[in-house]
Amino acid sequence: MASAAVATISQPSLYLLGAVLVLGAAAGAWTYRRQPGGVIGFGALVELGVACAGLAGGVPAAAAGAVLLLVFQAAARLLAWGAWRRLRAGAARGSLRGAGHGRPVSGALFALGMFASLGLSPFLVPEGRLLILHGLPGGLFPALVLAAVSLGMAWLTLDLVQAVCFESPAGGAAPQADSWTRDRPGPVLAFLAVAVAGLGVLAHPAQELAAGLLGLAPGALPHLGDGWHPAALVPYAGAFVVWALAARGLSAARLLAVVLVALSLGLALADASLDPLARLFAVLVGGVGLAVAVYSCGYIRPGPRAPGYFLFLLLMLGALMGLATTRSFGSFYGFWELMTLSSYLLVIHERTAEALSAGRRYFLMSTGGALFMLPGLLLLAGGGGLDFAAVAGAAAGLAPGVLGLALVLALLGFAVKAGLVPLHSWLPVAHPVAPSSISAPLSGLLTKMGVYGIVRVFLGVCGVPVLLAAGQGTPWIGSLLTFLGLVTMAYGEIMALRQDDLKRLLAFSTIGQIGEIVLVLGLCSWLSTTAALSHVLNHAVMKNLLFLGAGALIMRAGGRRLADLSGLGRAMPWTSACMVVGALSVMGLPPFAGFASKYLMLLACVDAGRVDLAAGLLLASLAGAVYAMRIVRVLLFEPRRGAAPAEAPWSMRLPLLVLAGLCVGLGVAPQANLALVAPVVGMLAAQSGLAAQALPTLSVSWPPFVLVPMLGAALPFLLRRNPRAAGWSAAGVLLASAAAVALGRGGLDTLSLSFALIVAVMGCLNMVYAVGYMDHSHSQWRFYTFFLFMTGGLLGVAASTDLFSFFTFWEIMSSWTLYFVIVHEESPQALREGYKYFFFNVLGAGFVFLGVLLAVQAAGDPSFEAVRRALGTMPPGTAAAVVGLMALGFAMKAAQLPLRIDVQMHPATAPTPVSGYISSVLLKSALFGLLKLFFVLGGLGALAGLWQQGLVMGALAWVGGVTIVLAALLAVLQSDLKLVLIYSTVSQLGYMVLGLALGSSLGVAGGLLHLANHVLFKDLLFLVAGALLLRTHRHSLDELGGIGRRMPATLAVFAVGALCVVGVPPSNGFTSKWIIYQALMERGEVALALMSLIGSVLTLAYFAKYLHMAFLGQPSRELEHVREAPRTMLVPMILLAAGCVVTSVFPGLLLAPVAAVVAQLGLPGLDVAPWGLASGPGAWNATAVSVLAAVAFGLGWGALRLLMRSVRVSAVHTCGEDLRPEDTRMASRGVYGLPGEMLRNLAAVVVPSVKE
Amino acid sequence: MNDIFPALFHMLVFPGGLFALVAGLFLKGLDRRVEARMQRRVGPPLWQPFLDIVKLALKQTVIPATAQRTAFLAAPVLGFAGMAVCAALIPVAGAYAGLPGLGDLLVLFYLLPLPAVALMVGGSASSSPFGALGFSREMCMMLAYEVPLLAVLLAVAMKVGAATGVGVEFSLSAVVGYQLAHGSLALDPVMWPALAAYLLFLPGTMGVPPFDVPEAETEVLEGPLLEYSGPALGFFHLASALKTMVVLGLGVAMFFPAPLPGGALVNVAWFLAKCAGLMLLTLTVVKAATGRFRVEQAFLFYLKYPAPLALLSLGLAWRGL
Repeated sequence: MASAAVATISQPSLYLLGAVLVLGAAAGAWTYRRQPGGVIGFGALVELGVACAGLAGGVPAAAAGAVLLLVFQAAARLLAWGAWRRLRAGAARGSLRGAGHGRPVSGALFALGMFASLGLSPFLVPEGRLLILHGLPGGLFPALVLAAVSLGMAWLTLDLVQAVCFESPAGGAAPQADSWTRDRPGPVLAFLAVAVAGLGVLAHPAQELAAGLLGLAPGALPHLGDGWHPAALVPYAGAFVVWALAARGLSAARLLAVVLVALSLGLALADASLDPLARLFAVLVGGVGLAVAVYSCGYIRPGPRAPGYFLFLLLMLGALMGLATTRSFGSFYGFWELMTLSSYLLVIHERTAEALSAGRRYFLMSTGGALFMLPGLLLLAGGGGLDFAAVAGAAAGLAPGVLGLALVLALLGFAVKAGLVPLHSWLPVAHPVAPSSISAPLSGLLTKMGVYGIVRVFLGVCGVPVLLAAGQGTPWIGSLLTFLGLVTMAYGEIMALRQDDLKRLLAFSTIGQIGEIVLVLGLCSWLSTTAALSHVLNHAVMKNLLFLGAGALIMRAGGRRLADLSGLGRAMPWTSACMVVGALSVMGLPPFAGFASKYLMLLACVDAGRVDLAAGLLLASLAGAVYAMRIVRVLLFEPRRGAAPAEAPWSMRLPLLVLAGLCVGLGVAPQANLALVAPVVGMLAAQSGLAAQALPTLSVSWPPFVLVPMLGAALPFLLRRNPRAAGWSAAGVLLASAAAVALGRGGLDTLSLSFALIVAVMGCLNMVYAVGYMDHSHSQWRFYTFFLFMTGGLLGVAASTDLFSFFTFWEIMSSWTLYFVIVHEESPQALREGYKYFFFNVLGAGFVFLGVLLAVQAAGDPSFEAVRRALGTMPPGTAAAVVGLMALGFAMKAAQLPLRIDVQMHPATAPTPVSGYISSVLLKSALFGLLKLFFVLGGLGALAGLWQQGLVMGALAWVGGVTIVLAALLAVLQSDLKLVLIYSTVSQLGYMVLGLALGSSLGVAGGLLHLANHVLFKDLLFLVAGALLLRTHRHSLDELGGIGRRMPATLAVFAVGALCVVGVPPSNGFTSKWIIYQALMERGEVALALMSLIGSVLTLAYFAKYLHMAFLGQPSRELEHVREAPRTMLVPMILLAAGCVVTSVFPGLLLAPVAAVVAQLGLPGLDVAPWGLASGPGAWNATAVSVLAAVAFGLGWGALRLLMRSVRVSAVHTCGEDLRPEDTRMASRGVYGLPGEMLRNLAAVVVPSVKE
Repeated sequence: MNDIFPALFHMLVFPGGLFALVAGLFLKGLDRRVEARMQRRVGPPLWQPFLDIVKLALKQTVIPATAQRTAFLAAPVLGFAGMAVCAALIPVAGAYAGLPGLGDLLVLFYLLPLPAVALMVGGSASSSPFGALGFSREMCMMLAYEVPLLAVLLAVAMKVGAATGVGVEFSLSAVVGYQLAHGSLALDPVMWPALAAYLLFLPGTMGVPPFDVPEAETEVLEGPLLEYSGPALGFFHLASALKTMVVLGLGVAMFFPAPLPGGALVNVAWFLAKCAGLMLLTLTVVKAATGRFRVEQAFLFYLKYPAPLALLSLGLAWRGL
């Protein structure tokens, strides 16, 4: 009979009527927007208009839809209107604000009615509107107008609902305690409420009923949805049970909620019929949801809003699960709206003005996106069925223009959810105001649903051929995604840098990371899809971890700003540790989850020929290193102001620990991640014709001698109550590592073996020293533990035989482990300098990374062998880029960029045992890397044929030469005990770089010999400086004087070290420099030789000053009490000094392994004797000169002692004046007089800061 | 290692050791005598330096209470030992070819500053404020004259190396050998700037007026030497005598080693005569004729004249001229 009624009106006029109704009523609703009655009434007219328009198409299904729509709208709007009448009666004279406060049941019914009228209901809504839109005549334009009008209505409706139900009353009237039981709305409203709920829950039967009323055959209506997957149904249905239960007692309800989510996860896992993509996201939702549910048990305080919280949480998880598991766009849209509604209600959980405003923006943007997405999806379906398979078929047949439009519309909805710029603005405001337990899934899951939508629609349903068809052959859709991703990434990362609010910071970081994912996704290759999905998974884990951790910290600290959280690390060690893991993972540092997927994403960029994008990604992660490290610094290293709070409860700690464990686990074994992702990509590839690629190798080799320090790092932690024991244990672990290296030498060549031995043995010595040095420090275990991690990384670098392992370990030893040990003292200066160095290292590693990626991509396999083979065949430009980038990165590690050496050096504020270790061992990794690059990877060989021979190496040689002089110049100008040595290190590294860059056997031998010698004497000198620091507590040469009388043993070993570094014959330093000079002269590099010799003169100058200002000179009267260094420190120093002496007299001891390395590198052999090089250029007899010098000195000394029969002690002659040392002492700056000033002016040209 | 004993002989007896000490002390005596004559004084006998040494050896040693004793006493011995090794490396054309394989020119470059370093360390270890001043001034001078010295040495090595086709020749015996075959470098115009630089280097490194800034008696009371007495001071004098022989002998070997026909004895005498001539020309006459530079004047002098001269020769030699 309804169809008969329809038939009586001509269709165009019906259509016109509908249009007039929709637009006119919308205008009316706008006019009466402050009156609920007006909005409800005019809204009803809008819906009537929609129904009319739907009928105009003459499609029977649309008629059924119109009936459904009108019935449902009538129920919903009557409910809202009835509830409003009750509320108005109780409200303060017509005021909207907080009208629902005193009557919660009526308020809830009002909200239900209003939301339902928008098509949003916790009980879902019948598919009436969908049926109408599905059959809407007139093409896209009316659908878009309708979407716009609906958005406007949503706006008006939400404003009313927020004002009435969620805002506090205007007068600030105290809310009644619990009036749920006293507010009885009466049978009519109850019936309407049941009707609204029932029509939603029983949507399908209702739909059939409507069809029956219209006389349609059963099954004539198109199946727009596909019902519930059990995994989604369980939390959804359970939500109401939990809510009812929570009203009686929260604890049982919380437990039930956790059980339900766990059950849901189990069901998702158990269902083998899910396609891999659905499975991936279902596991994600279930897993993260479980963590969030457990966390919420501790996080959500019992209170009137707690039941609602668990209700909406479970609804949201149900909706998310439904989204992941559904196979039809009809259900997809329904779940999407349910997700928006439930998450909106969770975002405004706190009900603050800030929360409501943020929630409003979130709601309207999400709804708006969805409203435009729907026509896009329908367009894609081309009027056919909405299940994925049908849409896939339909989409393939669409005209390119229509297809493109449909995809852009769909993208609109996804982009809002994912937070892509410019549709991101809800994200940074909603995250901070939502409860942290909600911010976590907001970032970790909801934004991922946007990504899911993109993957599902663009790759799963459409596929690359269709995307290409949409662009008529141009991949503009992919490019659009990449562009959006790029902009989003840049925006997010830059904004994150500027935040002080922890949660806002994390929110912007999410934007940045989503941008990275979408950017890579847009490349539309097999590898890029793998990478993006892998990062989706990892990011879900780590961002949840961070938000949940942030929630725990904020809950205890009582403030969201970073400054409020300072120093919480000591009070909340577990939570902070988990946060740190999350932060390191976000930075993309190994061995945490973020690194593996970052590597894949970068590789995908390079693979697609977009090195520029890879560079952009690296820049973004550099920004990540800045803001994420800020979190770490604030938590761990800044002092706590105010009281120390208690650790978070176990229910919150447990999910944190699990997620942190996952971060580490997925980092160490990225294969686990790929096992989940690879089938998805396999499926997508099959569906959309992506060319399959080999899975990139992500396995890192962990030889036993790397595992020993990595696992042994736990020992100092376990022994943390006894600092000395912790220190000894660290030394013991390193000794064990050295033994393991010696035993497990099988796979190592001489170079790697020697480097590994140096790493372990020197580490052991420095740890023994540290036992004494760190005695009066604090939290020593932390220093020892991270030192062990760092040596583990170094050993890994030494042991690696493939570039992936190499770079993984490179990052481990040069990023976080290093940072943790160098800022150990926690002073503001230490933090600033340490951070600077950390940043510089990450930057340098970025260049290495890019080189590694290019090489791996070209070789197809990261092993050195494969890369060596590939370097010869790859295009010359690529080969040059590989070698150039990696050489640049290594040179930066060695602080060899000649300009601004001051920003490249390791900081003087680090604890001395590690300063010495960095200078003497860690920085040598750069030279190790250069050698591997030039010889093992065959970079030199590859360049030789393709480029002008030695261009890169020649440049590097000059870099080394300039650094020698410039760094020595700067060393001359320093007065800080350690800065002198640090600049000296840079200068000496210049000799090594120079030698290696010559590439001849003599040059490499000289460089390596100097490297080995420098390990001994520079560590010795640092340990001496540490002894001075420890005993005098003075940092500046200006504040010392005459210490040699008090610390004669220290003076003696200092003299040995200084003679060696200056290179006074016959010291070991002379032997190695002599070989380098010879190598230079052999090549005719006179200018470089001259520079390096001048560097030697300057070296003599600054060590003479050091000796004078610290050990000799006029003794400072305040330092009369100073004692000799303790034994644990003296013994390593004496051992090193002995090493210096022995290798000076018999340089052959070190030259023999050096010659073996040179031979293994394929260079002409050297004639080595115990006394040095036996023949050819560079030959000289150190032993003979040693004997001569010893005899001469011995005779002289003997004669002097013999002649000195009587000795008288007197005061210093001061012409009769009583001169106090303070008055007559010369400042270190003045020691060099005019030349000093001239050198200072010269240095200031490059480094302005020396002028001060 | 079996050439260690000849090497020891050369260091202890000839041309280093006893020979260099005796010759060096006589040269010192000659220097004082000639200078006195130029100043219209009679001057001491030639053997006065010997008498001074003996006197110092017999005297009591005074050590400042606040000194770092070991360093204070070891410093003069360090300078002495360094010069003793150097002396063994100087060839005497026609009598002694030098010790090959010991690094020669570069070893000399590193060892030559040792007496200056010893002076600095000694002054510093004495804990005297005047010692500290002397330290600073000595350091300043060292920075001034080391660069020209380096350039001169490299120029010679470059020149000889290029001419003999080995690239660069650091061996002094080879340098002398080349000149015996091809004529002295002093006759080659390319090397004249280097020779001039070396001549200017000599008064600086020997610390004689106008470059006696570190030990200026009237200003810093002999600076580093102020607190020294007895045998320790004697060792400074011995080191200075050895150094005189080393730097003069090095100059002879590098620029005009040409021997006379005749035996070794003739050539030793000829070598000594050349050393004496060089000394009178560059040390004695200059010393007697000039006052004292201020420290920055001395520094700038070396920067302005000897360094560019030596670098000029180096550049020319590098270009293969």
